[in-house]
Amino acid sequence: MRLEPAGASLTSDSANGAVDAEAWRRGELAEWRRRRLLERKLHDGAAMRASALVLRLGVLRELVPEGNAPLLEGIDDVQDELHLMLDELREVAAQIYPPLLEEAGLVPALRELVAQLDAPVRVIAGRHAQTRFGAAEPAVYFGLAEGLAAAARSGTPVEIVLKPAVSAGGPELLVSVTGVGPEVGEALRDRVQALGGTVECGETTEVRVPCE
Amino acid sequence: MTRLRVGVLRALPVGVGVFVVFVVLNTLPPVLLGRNAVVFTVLLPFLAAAVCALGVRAVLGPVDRFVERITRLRTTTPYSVLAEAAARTRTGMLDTALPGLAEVLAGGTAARQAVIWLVVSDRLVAAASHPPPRTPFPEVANIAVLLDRPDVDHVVPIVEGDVLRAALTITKPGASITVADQRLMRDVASEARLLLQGVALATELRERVRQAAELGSELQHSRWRLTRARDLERSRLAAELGHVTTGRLAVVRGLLDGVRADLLADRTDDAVSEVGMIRARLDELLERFRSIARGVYPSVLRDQGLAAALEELVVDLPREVDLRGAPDRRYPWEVESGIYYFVASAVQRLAESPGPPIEVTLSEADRRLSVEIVDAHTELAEAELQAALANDLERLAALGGAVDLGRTESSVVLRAYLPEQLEPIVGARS
Amino acid sequence: MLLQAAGHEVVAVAAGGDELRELLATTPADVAVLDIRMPPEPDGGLTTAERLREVNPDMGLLFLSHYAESHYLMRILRIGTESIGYRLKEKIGSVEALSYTLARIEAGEIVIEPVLAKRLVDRPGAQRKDAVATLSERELDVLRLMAEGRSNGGIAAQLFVSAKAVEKHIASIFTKLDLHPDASVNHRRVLAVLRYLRSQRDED
Repeated sequence: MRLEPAGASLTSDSANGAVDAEAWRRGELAEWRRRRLLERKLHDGAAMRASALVLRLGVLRELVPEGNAPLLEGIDDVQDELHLMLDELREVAAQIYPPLLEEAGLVPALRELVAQLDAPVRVIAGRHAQTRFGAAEPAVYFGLAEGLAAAARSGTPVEIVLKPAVSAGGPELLVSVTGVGPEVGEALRDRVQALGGTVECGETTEVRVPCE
Repeated sequence: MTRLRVGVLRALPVGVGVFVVFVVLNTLPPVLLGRNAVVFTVLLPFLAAAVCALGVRAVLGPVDRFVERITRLRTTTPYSVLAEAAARTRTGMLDTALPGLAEVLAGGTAARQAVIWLVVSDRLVAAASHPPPRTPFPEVANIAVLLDRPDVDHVVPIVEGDVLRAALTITKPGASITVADQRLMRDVASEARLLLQGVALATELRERVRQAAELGSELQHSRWRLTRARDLERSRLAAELGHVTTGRLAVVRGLLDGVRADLLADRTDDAVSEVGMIRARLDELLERFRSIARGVYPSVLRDQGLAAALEELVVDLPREVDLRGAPDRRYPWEVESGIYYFVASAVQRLAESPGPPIEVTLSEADRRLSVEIVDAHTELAEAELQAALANDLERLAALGGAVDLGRTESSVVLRAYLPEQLEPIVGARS
Repeated sequence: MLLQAAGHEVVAVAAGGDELRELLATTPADVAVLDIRMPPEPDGGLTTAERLREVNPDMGLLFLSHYAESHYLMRILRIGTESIGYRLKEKIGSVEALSYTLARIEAGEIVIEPVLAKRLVDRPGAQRKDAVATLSERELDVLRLMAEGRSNGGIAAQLFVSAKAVEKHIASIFTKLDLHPDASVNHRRVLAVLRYLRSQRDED
């Protein structure tokens, strides 16, 4: 018997490449939920254990007899390794689903993201810095993350402007990106289209995404 | 019947008519109006002339037609009418252009009936005729049959290469087909051919546009699937990372307890060496960690391919695994890692309970990379396997593959495949 | 735990913000250590701290997290700019580091995770066109340490220079960044610096 994926976001006709757009959209939303849970699990599991071990080592260090350099160094080294591991875990978690995106929303998460990029990127949201954009948030966040990683080497300043809009279909998020090539549009396109939004590439990359 | 005679025939009724009008108008009014209408008498010839002029114009049409019917000779050049019909064909609409052509044909050859036949599914069908028939024409099997018909006096076929596309026929009982007739028919035929070509092109164009739109949407969807598959891979790796790390760190924690005991008991040398061991374990974990986090994991898969990676995978398992059928070439990363992780998930789950060696066979056929996993003795329920393989099922489906499960009382057979070529997934109709 | 090993007395332990406030209502404490993401979700550490500061403005607050996020830093500074700190959990994994942090908080200072301060100051790339690019290497070191919340004395000790030299550098920095020199009070200074650094990339 054929084993079907649980999400059923792919038609049983999957062999011929066709896709039911509405089912796919629900599949995307389900995928984001799964990733949020996964990040939680990583945080509560591996990261928690690693930092607990760091503290344990700290306590252990106090038991070391005065002046025993090799032992002290050994413990310090192990702590450093654990620090490195936690750094790597943080990076992985941020790629799966940054907790700030879930907790504080798209604009704060984007600002945190661009702060660590090797290029001058500004995020402009006016009085909408705290606004939440529903389903559009992970699609735009990850699309931009991928796109900016591919784009930013030229040193041209990049500006990302976000603002809400209302359409017949409900609330929407509008994003304009200047100072980048088509890579940003390409990265955004699949995720945004899957939710029923549009991407236009030109001098400015213009994106429109439904929030529901 | 010569032209002269025709001319005389035309002139005759007109001449008679004019004569009658003059006589009436010149003689009658004076009689009616009496000796006082002397003034009118002067004007009367002019009046008569005017009436005749108007009358001739009105009468000429019917006279011509009458003469035509008697003499069966065209009196107007059909080429002006053909030009008009040709203008109509430029719009490319068969249903308005064809009747026009039929009309030109009938009028120009003075035929009683002219029919334009089109080839539709290997039969000849009357598409237009002038004058329009009272009962529809029957379909005709081929052009030979058409020639045999008693009501057909002349046939001109319209061909493209060696394929018959259409035919023109005229019915002209009791009259001969003149050279002029034949020439007109040929001209109408080429006009018809152009028209038919135009229509065929438009249909083909419509079909192409429809196919392109379909293709565009298929390509878009296939890109979505690839993005989804890559996302799923990233999640898979992160979950693997969490799993590996939690396990190893639990081990380290145990070792730390040992160090603590040593320190409390003043066994500092032992403590030093244990800390060293912990350090080594963490180094190893960090290495693995990094390759997982970079997304290209395991590196042996990237470097040496599927068979080598699976061999490494099964070494640590609590149950024996028989690997067969190493592919003789490399496949795209997503294909190899898709199959790899599927096998890893399945085999790791199956190996949790004891039993005979699990058989894993790789094969290549029908432009697919396939794998078959057989566990001859297992108590796992389908639902449990489905749960263990959830992420892989989705990923394989997104990449255009599928998984089948066969279950008997004690054994389980899993079969999975991926197309060997990923992009485009378009056109991979099974 | 580590706190005890360091010789500090742990007076209360709670699983969530509400429980903590209850306990602290009756038991006095010098410093409260909170996880930003503790219950009530999603940012119970911050909401609890707000209430605690209202009730007991002298009690120090140390926020711990697995992530160094400048978004939360700004929120923390809104709660207070004295006796307050924000550190990565694993970075205070030794008695030394933990005690140092707690001591500074108790003394009324601000303690900001160096990783975060560094990230704010060292904006990427040679493309940096704003005023920070005009600072010298040394001035950048001073700026980073200021962003960590350190006092002049603290900065001097880290860089092995005199307090006077530090004052000079700070004056120069403030001029170049066009910031108000009413920065004699440490916490206002830190705030000014951090606000400036953040404003360089955002528009709120």
